[in-house]
Formats: sequence, C-alpha cells, structure tokens
Amino acid sequence: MIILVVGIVFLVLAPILGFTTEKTTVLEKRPKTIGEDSSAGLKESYAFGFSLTSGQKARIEFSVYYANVTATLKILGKGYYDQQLALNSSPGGITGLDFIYSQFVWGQSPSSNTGSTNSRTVMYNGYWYIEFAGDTNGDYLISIPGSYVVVVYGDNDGPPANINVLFNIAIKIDGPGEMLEKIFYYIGTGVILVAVLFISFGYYKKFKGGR
Amino acid sequence: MVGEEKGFFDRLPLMDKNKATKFIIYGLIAAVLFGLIMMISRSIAQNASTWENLENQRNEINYWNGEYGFNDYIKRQEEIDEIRYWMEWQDVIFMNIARVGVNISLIFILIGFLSFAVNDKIDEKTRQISLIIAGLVLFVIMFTTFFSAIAITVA
Repeated sequence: MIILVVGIVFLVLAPILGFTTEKTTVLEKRPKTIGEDSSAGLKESYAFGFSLTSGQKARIEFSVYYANVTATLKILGKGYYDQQLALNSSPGGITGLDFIYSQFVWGQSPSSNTGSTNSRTVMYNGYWYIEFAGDTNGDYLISIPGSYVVVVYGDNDGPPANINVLFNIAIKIDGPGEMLEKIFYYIGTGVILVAVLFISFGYYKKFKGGR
Repeated sequence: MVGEEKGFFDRLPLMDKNKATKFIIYGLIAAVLFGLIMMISRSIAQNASTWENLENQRNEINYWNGEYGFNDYIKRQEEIDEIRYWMEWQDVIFMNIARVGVNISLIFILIGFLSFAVNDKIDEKTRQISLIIAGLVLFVIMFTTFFSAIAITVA
C-alpha cells in the first residue's frame, strides 16, 4: 500500500515540478542603462551572453518606457560578437540572427501578429516578446545549439545633457521541467504497476492457500 | 487415491455449491469492473474532440495573456493534438484488455452455473435453470469472441 501511495505522489508531483521548472530566468527584468555612444561601438553596448542546447528556446521581453529613448535589440553568435567587439564595430551595421517577435492582440489569430526579423527597435515606449532558438524559417524557430549574445544599443533624442539610454530586458530559457515531468510520470506509473502486481500476487496466494 | 493433487479441470464438475457461488460472484464483479473500464475508455475517446476544443481555447487565451509566445503556442497545439490522438488510441488498448477480461469473467460465471447444473444435491428445477443460464453465457462468450461487430453502446 505504501508503494502505491509513493507512486501516486510521483504522479501528483510530476505536473507541479514540470510547471515550476519549465523556464529558467537567466536575466531578471530590471531597467538597464547604457550611454548614447553605444550606437557608435559594440564596446559601449549592452551585452548578455547565454547558451542554448538542442531544442532549447530563449524568451526575451524587451521594452522601453522612457522619454526620448530609442533602443535596438540584436542577437549575435558568440564568435561573431567577439570578432566585432575586437573591432569595436558600430552595432547598427552588424546583421543579427533571425528571431520571432510577437504582440498579443486579443481575439485575433496568433499567427497574424507574429513576425521574423533580425533586429527590433523600440522608440520612447513599446514592448516586444521575442523567441529565439538560433534561426527561423518563416514564423517558426529552428533550433541551432550554441552560445549567443544579446546586444542592445540606442540613442537619447533629448537635450544634449541627457545621454542615458534606459531599457528593460528579461531573458528566460527552457528549464528541465519537461524532462523532469516525464521522468516523474514514468517512475510513478512504474511504481504503481509494481504495487498492483504485488497486491494481485498477494491475493492470488491467499486465494490458493484458502482452497 | 489419497493425497493425490487434482488439477483445475478435474475439480470443476465436483465443485460444491459454495465454491460455485463464489465463482459466479467473482466472475460478476470482474465482469462489471472490466465493463466499467470499457465504458470509461469509450467515453474518453468519444469526448476527445470536446477536450481538444477546450484546450485550444485555453491555449489561445494563454497566448493573448502574454504567458508565452507564438512558437510556444504552436508547441502546445502539437501537444494537444498528440494527447487527443492518445485519448482515441487508448480506447483500442483498453477495449481489447476489457474484452479479454470480460470473457474470462464470463467463463468463471459459466463454470459456476455448470457446477450448479451438474450438482445432484440441488433440486431439479434450479439445475435446469442453471443449465439454461450457462448455455446463454456460453452463447454470449462465443459471439463476443468470434464476432467483433458486437459492441456495447453507451448512450
């Protein structure tokens, strides 16, 4: 009976564990500040590196809610980023990798408000939900495992004294949730099967002995 | 011979009233349980598309709420399709298991009634009725075993 309870506990825990560990936050949503000269060279731009394994996705929430601020987000391969960083290239001239961006429009088909691009710019205010896995085909992601760098650069159109470029960014990547959920389901089902076999065998022995 | 172990089939015609009753009761309980599995399994399969509609609507609402993006929405859609196909396929698996289970249970019931029929300690009328019931049960077993077109329909 204890084995049966253990099996049920595993089955109950599976979806809970799967849900809680579905996504891993690698970068908390907080305002970041860079200077106007971030547009001139990669060394002054904001950069955040992350790695993706096969089938893994990154979700980036990118927004700006500050007066006179224009910020642009690009995603580069680590090797290409390092090369361009050494040259301190202007980020505006660099071609980023393709990603998917969405806006959530109520009542409309999700595919009608989704697109693929290699850079996203927000002027003064705006929000984009970005999905990235290495490359895209149409509005769909292609998984290419590797190390990537998110680059953000921008301008402040305000008075000359205002040189700060403020933006918000949060990055989440796929966590071990799906795998853990599957493992717990398999263990739970296996344990219950063993328990049922034991109980059936017990009844069989009792039945045979009582004849 | 004294102390000789008798096989399962050797015991059958000599089954006393109590044991025959037990066979019928156990057979009935098992048949009801397997029948229940059949009905639950069929009900899940028949309502798979209703569940799919509900989950698709939830998926859209989650997307509109900004809980996940377009590709997660597509992934969830594919998962919903997979589960829907499983809900339909499990019917084939459980219906066959239940069919075997019901037939085995009916064999137990048949043996029980046959034991009544051949028991000379029971009155003639009961024995005759038991034989008729055993015949009917046998008829059902034969039909459900050799004709797959016979099915239980749950309204």
